[in-house]
Amino acid sequence: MQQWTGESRGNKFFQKLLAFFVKYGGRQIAYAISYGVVFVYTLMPSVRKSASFYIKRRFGGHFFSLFFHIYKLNLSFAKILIDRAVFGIRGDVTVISSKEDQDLCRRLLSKNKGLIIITAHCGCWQMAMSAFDFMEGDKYVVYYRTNKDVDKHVHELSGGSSPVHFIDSAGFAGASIEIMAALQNKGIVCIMGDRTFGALSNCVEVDFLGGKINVPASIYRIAGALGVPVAIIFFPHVSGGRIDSVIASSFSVEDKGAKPENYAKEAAVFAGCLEAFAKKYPYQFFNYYNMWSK
Amino acid sequence: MIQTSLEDVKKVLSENLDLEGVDLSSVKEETPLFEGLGLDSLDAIELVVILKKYYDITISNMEEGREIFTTFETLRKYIEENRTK
Repeated sequence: MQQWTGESRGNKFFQKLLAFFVKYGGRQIAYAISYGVVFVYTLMPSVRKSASFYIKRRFGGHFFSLFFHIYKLNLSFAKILIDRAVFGIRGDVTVISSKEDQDLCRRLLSKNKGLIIITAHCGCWQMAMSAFDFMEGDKYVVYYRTNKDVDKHVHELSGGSSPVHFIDSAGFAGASIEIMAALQNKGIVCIMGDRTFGALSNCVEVDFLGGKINVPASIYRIAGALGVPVAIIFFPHVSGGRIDSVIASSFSVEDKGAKPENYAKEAAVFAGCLEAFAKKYPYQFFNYYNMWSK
Repeated sequence: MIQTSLEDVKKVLSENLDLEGVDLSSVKEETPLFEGLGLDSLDAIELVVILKKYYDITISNMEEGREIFTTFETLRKYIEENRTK
């Protein structure tokens, strides 16, 4: 079973405090405050432990360097949370995708089969779909929100309506039918490719940062069965208020039947892209649990 | 409307899903599809694929899908009323 809990990094009080500073002080004030808050937060052993699984894989190192890397990781996460709040409250964030990537997305959509966007818990994934205004079609985000998840979506902060439909991954039949219905209506479905949900029998094992992790295989099965093109897209936080949207890979999936292991090749492509992202943006990888645990 | 029996549906499912350990002879009209066969999210994908492949039926509405896949009888009835092959 999955190791992650869905618990937010901050709590409700922190979220409200963040929203207050963003609303009345702006991004830079909120950034400045985050340095101290994150330092105190990183002193907590449970916080360091949850971040250490990835940091040790990525950097190795001893106590002091570990603390330094975890602090930088948490600070980066805090800044992304601040930018999300800024986006929701003040609308002052730009998501940039290159013309080449936009053209590629349009070409994939022109196949008239819908589009599967696979991303991961890295960079500014929560603002992902804001990058796709240029694409026609209904947009869906497959999302599991536990009662421990207090993070607010952009539209919840702004009080507006959501630009995307949410599909609950804990919903009927593990959301498979809802995802397929959306795609059969030529929708654009965004899903996380890095977290397992439910039984590991639905997953496939891939190499990642020197070990093995399980990633879900069902989305590749859906892509193969329906002939839907896949784009792996990440959203690195480049600077205050600026997010890039980068297509790491795009491909079609052959219909190879029902077995998860038949989609190991596609899952490995995803894992390779994710590892490249973690190497390029080491402090923007936000899986705070032991992904390498069996 | 193309007549479709419960046995027809059971045959197609048994040929396409991994139903090891399931006694299909004990399956009745009112048997819940997912709980009755121990199906998971991957099997749900196969159910949608089966409907398209064998009956040319496309599920394009989630609420519809939830109703269709409630029991064997709801599935059989939907296939019978909507199949084109």
